[in-house]
Amino acid sequence: MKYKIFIGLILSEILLILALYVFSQMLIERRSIEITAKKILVRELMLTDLSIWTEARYTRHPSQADLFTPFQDFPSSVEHFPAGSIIAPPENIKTWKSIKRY
Amino acid sequence: MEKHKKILEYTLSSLLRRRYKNLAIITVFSFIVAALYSILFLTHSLKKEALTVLKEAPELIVQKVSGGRHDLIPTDYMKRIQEIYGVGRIIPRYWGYYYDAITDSNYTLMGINGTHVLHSNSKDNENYPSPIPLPQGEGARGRVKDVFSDENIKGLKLLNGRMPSNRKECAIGKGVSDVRFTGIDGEIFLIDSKGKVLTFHVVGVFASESAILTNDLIVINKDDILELFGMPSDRATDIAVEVYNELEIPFVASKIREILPDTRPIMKGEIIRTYETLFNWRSGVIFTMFLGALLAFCILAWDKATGLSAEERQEIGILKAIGWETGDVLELKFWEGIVISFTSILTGMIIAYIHIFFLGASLFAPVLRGWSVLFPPFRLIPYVDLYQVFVVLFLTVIPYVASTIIPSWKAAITDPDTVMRG
Amino acid sequence: MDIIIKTENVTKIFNPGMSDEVKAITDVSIEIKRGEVVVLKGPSGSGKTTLLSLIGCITRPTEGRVIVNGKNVAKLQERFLTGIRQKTFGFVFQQFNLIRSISVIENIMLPLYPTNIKLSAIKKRAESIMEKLGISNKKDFKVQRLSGGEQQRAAIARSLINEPEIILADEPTAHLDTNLSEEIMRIFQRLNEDGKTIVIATHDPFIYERQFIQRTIEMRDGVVKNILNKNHDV
Repeated sequence: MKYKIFIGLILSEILLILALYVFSQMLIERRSIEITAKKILVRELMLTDLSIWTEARYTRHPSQADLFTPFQDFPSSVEHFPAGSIIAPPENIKTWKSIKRY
Repeated sequence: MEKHKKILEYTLSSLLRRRYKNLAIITVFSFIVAALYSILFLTHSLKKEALTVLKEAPELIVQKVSGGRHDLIPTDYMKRIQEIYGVGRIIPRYWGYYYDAITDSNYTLMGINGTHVLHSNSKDNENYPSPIPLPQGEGARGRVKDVFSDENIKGLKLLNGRMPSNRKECAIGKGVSDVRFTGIDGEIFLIDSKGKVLTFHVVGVFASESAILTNDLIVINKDDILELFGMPSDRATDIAVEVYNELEIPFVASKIREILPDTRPIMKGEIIRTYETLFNWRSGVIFTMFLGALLAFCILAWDKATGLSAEERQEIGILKAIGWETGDVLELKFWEGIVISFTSILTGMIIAYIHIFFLGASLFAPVLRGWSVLFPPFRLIPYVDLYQVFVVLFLTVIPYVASTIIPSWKAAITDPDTVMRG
Repeated sequence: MDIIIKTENVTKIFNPGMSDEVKAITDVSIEIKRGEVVVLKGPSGSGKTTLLSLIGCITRPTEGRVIVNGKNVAKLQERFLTGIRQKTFGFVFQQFNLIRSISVIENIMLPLYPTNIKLSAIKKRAESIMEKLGISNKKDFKVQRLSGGEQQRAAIARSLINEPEIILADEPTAHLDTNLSEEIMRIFQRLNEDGKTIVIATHDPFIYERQFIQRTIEMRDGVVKNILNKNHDV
């Protein structure tokens, strides 16, 4: 009776997914307090952006950057995304940059 | 019903015959679905959080633009803006970037003082559907240091310690604290525009729960930031403008452009829109990377589907000769597609969920992180968009099932006498 | 004895109008009575297999009528043909045509899968047939692990699962040695004693010598050459 095993497998996967969904809803409920906290942070610190990619103005504050300006950081700045997220810039550029900026 | 059960039974026997091949297909298929769902879950969760949280951003940010570049804004512009009807509080923002050569990371520095925070009575508690009662009254709101030290809000775990109230004090993000190996009561050295080392006493560290907003922040006193960046005291980075009525934001923005032509007002709606498109675009980029894998799988599916092997053709012939109808053969192929695609998709979905919401997108993080030094850990809230879930479900199941059935069609409708001839 | 199958002036042309057009049989009219054992004999290419598949509703004639149980099936739609195939015929093929890599019992049960009979009932039926044919010890073996004779017996078992009135066998002994052929023929004889009509297409002289065969229809180049009533007509 292979079909019973199969149907059992599919049903248990569906059940697991449903359980995960219910779990999600519970977690959203439970973590709504976090969202409230973050809302207060945004409001009180007047934040405008998420702090995910910090390497350039237009990745740290995409909503504040003027995307029409070329070389926003400095003229020889390396591209950051998406290229930057896959290939790291050469070591010498990084050291050169830190010396220069320092 | 009995009939379908038995055809399914035979389908499974038939699939088990080529178990390694089919297992390989299910594995690859699951992996692709997991990748696809991971992207969707991740971006949807981030987007949803950004859109929810950033609804509280200032209604308007006014930047000065000079020579096509963002410039410091004179604080006396505030008086001109104040004259516009419908404008509430106007607060200058002092912030900037600081490149830390020691750790190779960029911080966002932000200057505050006790009186500059937006506050109004027009949007009180209804904006916070929080189970925790929010502090009431003038004293509790409107001042950063008060808000964060309030007993009721402490439960929200915004900040360990307190906000800076005196000069040479700072509150730092979790990422900064980690990368500089410092914490409350520690110290942070920053080099000012004249090359002088300034030492800040850490009085607060933002909780890791809020890392997605505060990871790279160093919050210091407004006067410290002026000194650090060498900014003239009559200049600010930009100006936050409160507008009482949301509907009037565009009107106020165009008014500001009119009276201050060298400025660029950024509306809250634009911030929200930026985040909407940003995540669509970013997920598009990752999606493109997986397109290769997807295409490879399509080729595999196509090959499997169109190149009905002689063995399969003969099997169809035998089935027809021993009394199976065309419809039964197609049902067999239909089940074949369903078994493979459903198993793969459900498995992929579960893997994706675990990957994103339990493991914090650990497989994607290196790609998304790039060479960022300060990259916040993803503690994603499992917002799931059912619409997206079903779209992917249909976009994967239907083509797969179709590509299994259609090539068998021709074999299934021909007379089975070819089998008789051996 | 009533007539169970009748062909009237049946002609079958493969790939009509094409360059590789083949006229397999021409103007064949035969009658098969219920409970009879008939052998279609003739060299390969004489049209035996074609006639067998026409009788078995596996293919349709280009011209003429095929009457099974009093019903003309020549112009019936595919799904009705399948229905008739399912209820009336059991096929034993030259190549056995068992499906490799699944178990013997599953192969035997296969013809009844697209019906509403319960799986457990089919299984019981398959087991009793296997018992009769002496292969019940090979039940869960994969087909390719059986010997030629066992495979042929499994194929016969499969043809019996739907309890057909007529068994059509195409060269059932082609891949078997004399002993096994003997055994298979004994099975056919037993089935005939149980009242089954059996039509065997073969060019194996070993078969036409069997006592229980009532009639031999000799074919050559797609036409009936000779009909020989071996035993006196009953």
